[in-house]
Amino acid sequence: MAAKCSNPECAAPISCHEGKDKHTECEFWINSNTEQFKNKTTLKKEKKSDLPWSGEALSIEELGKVTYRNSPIIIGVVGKADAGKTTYLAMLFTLLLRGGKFSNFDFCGTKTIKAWDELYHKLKVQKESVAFPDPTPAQYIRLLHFALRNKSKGLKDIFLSDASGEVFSIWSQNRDDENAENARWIYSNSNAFILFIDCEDLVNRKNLAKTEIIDLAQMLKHDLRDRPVIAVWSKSDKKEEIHIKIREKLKEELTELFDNYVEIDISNFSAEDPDILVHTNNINVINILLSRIFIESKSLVVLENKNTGKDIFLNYKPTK
Amino acid sequence: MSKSILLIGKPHSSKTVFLSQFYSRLQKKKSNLKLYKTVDDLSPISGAREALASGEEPQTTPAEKNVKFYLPIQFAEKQVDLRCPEYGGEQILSIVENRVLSKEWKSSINESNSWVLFIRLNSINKSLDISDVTYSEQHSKSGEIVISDTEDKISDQSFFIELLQILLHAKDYDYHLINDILKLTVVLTCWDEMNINEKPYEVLKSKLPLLLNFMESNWNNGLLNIIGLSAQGFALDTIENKEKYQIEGPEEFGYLVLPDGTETKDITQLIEQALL
Repeated sequence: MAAKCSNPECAAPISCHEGKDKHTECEFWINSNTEQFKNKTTLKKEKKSDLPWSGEALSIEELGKVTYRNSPIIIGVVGKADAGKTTYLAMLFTLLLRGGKFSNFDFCGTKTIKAWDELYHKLKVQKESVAFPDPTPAQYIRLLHFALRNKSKGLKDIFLSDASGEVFSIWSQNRDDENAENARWIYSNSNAFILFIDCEDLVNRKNLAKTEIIDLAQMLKHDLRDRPVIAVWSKSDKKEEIHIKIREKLKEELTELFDNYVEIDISNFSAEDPDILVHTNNINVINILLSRIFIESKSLVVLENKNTGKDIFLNYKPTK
Repeated sequence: MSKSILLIGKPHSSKTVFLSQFYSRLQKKKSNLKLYKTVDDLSPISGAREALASGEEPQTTPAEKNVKFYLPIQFAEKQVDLRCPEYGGEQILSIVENRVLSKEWKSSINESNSWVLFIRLNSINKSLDISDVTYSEQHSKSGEIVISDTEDKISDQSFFIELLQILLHAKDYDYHLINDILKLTVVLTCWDEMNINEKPYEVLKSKLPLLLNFMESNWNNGLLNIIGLSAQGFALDTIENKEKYQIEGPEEFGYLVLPDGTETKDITQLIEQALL
């Protein structure tokens, strides 16, 4: 098991809560790990792995371990705390394990399979309940990887960010806030964004929740350029319970804010099999973003060709 | 053609029974294949051979037994070694867990362009996850859900994907390209225990779809082969079945399910499949 900091709020070894450059120099880290380390060095006789990847999620610094081979696509997963971002990642891998496929890409590997698999285990039904992933710690940012192959067998490396919702809330209020570093990194490095809209929060906190989403959306917009955004209504089995005025107003404002606004409803609870909200839409979030990323980086002629035949967008109604 | 065939499988994936049966058939000359020289060390399968000849289920290979095994096979004009760098299968688990390949494994991987992966599907548990049908209605009230004992362990599909990724890394595989030299033969073992009539490909697709997806996107179509194997033919748990083995001899039993779904009693064709 990886060592942990004595401060439960701290995400070390990923980054130090106290802001030390090296977490091993932090007193809270030293407190909890000196003894463990002593034990480990005596017990560990195994040869050290010489593989260039560990299977765990990657930190920003480790990205180069994969990106040397390709320019990657980074998808920023954006939303407030408890909006379902990490659960979404867990669901995505769960669906792939069950035979789900991206529409124009085949799975050809991942450098972060341990992290994916841990997420999958969280969604396994244990006894009578499902233990959803724990809240992502505030200082924490990590990237999960898929290697995909397009129809012409070209390799594409895709990363999805997994960062705490808190930093996005801070960032949405002050984009230069010193605690919003992770949000800033995701914003400046991502090729596309998933904006989470928490239906449950809109049911409970009504207009307050809506204002927070709009604040975040506006911050997302400020230097967006042509990077695609998809608005994901999570926990949308509760969408009908949102007051209709709030629901419509929010959609209207988001439509005004983003060019070619696209939205999709997802849920983790199936009402039928297959359930569109669960089995289809969770994967379609990625399908939509990938087709937008790859269409928009190509010339107009190619774009026309892409729009003929089986086009994913025909299934959606992008509102202008 | 490959100089050697690398046999890969977790513990209890039926490697011992297969090798024992395979060897018996070669000896009885019930195969297109033969040995091109005497095997140096038969002790890894001698226990299994004795057990099968007396109609008993072979003991599983002790996990701590770190035994290499190889068979020198002659196929038409070609000579090829069937190699098993470590027989118990425990090292396979350790490769994924500790992420280290021994020298023995590294050289076996490099020398072989034909890998045979044994997967025993009936020991693979499909846990219920939240994306399963109407979870909330059916399962939230009834207490029928069994707690999976694989908790905290990596799931089967992730295990095999990571194993292949590690082996491919040792082979210097470049993901920009598709495998067009290395042949992968997936053998779904203990086929008789599954009671199914589908083709091996369909079975793998329904049980381990992401693993299949991974293999299909990294291997050229012609170099990925999926077959079924029942090395024993049936369980040796009744007097009747035991007697069949005692009287007719173990080499009379066992079968392969070829990619097109046809069954053949000649399990040595597995090696021909791996070489084609």
